[in-house]
Amino acid sequence: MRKHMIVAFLIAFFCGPVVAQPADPIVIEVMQKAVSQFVRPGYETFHNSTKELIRDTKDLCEAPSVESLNRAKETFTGTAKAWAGIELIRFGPVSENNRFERILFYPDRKSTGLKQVQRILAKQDESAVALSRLTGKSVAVQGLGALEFLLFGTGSEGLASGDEFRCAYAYTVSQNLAGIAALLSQGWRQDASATEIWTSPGPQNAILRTPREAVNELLGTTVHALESIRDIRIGAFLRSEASKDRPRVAIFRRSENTMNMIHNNIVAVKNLLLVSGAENLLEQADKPILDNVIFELENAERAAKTISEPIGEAILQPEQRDRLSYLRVSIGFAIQTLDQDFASAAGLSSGFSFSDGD
Amino acid sequence: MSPVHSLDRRSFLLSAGAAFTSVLSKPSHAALVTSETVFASAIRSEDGSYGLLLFGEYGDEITRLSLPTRGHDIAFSADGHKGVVFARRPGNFALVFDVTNKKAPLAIATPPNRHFYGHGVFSKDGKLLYASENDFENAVGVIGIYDATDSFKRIGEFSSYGIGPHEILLHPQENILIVANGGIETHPDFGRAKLNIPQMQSSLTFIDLESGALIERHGLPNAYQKLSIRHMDVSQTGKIVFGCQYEGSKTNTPPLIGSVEMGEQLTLWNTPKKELRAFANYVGSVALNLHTKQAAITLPKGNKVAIYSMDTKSLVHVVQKPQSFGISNDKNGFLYTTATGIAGSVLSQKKQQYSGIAFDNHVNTVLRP
Repeated sequence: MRKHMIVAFLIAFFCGPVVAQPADPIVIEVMQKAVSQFVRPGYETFHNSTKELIRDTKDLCEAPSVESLNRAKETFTGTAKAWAGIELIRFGPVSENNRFERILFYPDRKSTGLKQVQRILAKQDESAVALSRLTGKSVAVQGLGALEFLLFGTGSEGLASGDEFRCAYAYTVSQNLAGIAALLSQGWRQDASATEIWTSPGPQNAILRTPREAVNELLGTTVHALESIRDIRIGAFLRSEASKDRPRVAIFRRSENTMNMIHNNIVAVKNLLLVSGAENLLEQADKPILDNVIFELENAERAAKTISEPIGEAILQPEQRDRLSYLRVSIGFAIQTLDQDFASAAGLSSGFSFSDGD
Repeated sequence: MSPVHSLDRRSFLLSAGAAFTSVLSKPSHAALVTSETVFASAIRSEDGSYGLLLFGEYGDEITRLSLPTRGHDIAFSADGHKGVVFARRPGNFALVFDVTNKKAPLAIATPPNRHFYGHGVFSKDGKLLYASENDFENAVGVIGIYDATDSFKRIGEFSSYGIGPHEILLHPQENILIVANGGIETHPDFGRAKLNIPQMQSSLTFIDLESGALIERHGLPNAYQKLSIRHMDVSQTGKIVFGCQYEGSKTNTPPLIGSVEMGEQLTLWNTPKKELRAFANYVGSVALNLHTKQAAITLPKGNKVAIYSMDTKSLVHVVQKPQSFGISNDKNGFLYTTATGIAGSVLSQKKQQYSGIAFDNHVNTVLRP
């Protein structure tokens, strides 16, 4: 029998490894800060940018010109970056009625959304320019992915000279995004159920019944976000061999926002950890664990900034491609540190509990 | 989580067990001969390595096997001689091991355009191995067929008639495969990302093993479009009890357990809302105990094990078991395993804490009580 096996039966209650767990008030304070300092401002920024999208696409439709098209494009970039700053939140109002996918359906492995958008344009499908009907269509034709193609894709130059249908479609998508963004902001107000759930863990809570579950939720959010950046945002186009890279599926390659998205996704994880005061979940001696995570994320952030657009050209340059590979490795270190070291130090079982299971 | 392994302890010790015991160290041998039942589970060690653990009903370790990466479920041949541990999705390897320890483990792999989903089952005569697999370029599920008499060569496949096939079982009375199609599209290019949540459709299919033809397909009501049927167990009469994972909002409380038989309507079982809320919309594993006529589900995210009456389809026990993933029947009712290294009895409170390991999602009975 193995030495490390404890032979005696343990009776009755759970007697797992003794790991210090953060006290309830600390957890509650961390969760409150996560909501007030990260979630609410993040959705507010996104909502504001969608309102600007409505304004600028309306202007474009009413007074088409190269200048008004460029303004709409710039606002699109601002909206995409704002979304990248908050899209790691998958809890609460964004998880209802397919709102997450309606804002951005990605990855779209078979380019279904692109084909559908092109079909709408070819047919001048009037149902796409009526908000109430657009919201009933495929999630892939009513969000940022569709809008990027409308503003930057093939034929988008016609917007500067009065392509009325295309512009009306872009305006309707902007309205749709703003409508969803408003619901997300409302859904995290002080008295909203998502706020109550995140900031009041306990037996009365429908979802987070213990402070430990709240810590798990917060940490799980960061780990899943980093996995998504590594496996979906970067993994979609950066393959093991350069000859197999697929830059055409990179997110927002047309608007040259691929690295903006990746950069802001990384910054969002860092910010959530910092502004929530996640270090307070750790004992003094364990606080360097979070420092290590932040160090890795800042390395990744810097690396992301040095990779140029368009991404299709960047990955043809070995040095730039190496930086992308480094970025992936660096994110992997951050995941491992959070999932293993931070989780253990914060009183959670490391690793398995964050997996999305099978 | 206990597909049909009808071998009793006596038979095991006379056949596979006799050879098996000859290679075990003394304490392990003692654990084997005093155990009515042997269990198997994939594990992770604290050094980050992965393996497979066989242990007795009192938690005593019998043997371990190293794995190159994280394993998921284990299939055993009906005679108990062969076991196959499958890689977790999107892994493309499975390791065949000889329970008698006479042969070295054999690694098998999917073709390049397929990967395993972590589950499989032997044919009743042990000559074929079926595995749930992903035809990821076409986003459809398939069942791979491997020849257990010829180095587990892959000799064919048929459709699972759904996306994301997960656990598969043999019908106890018919030459039919039962498939839990989770409904979720994944592609190895995107890691474990779920690609079709707004459109996902889960189903449970009955497939003729002779022809690969679909016999029956049971979907879920539209209101539960984001429920994913993932795990199940089957009674000797062919009643299937299945458990679900929910991909919608965490504030929703859809039913998580149900049953179906061939020729009958699929039924979702009612659970009082107060209890259901605490289940966290995630069933880890399902097992039936035909002696007690009960079905058990693990709720790793809710930190519980729930037991239902198969007769009344109603909840009879909810027991706090933090991070419980695996479940199997035992002579006391049910044995559970956890990510914190505990193997114990759900109702008797007997348990053993293993140091330095985490049990993975499933635990299998090698010997029936």
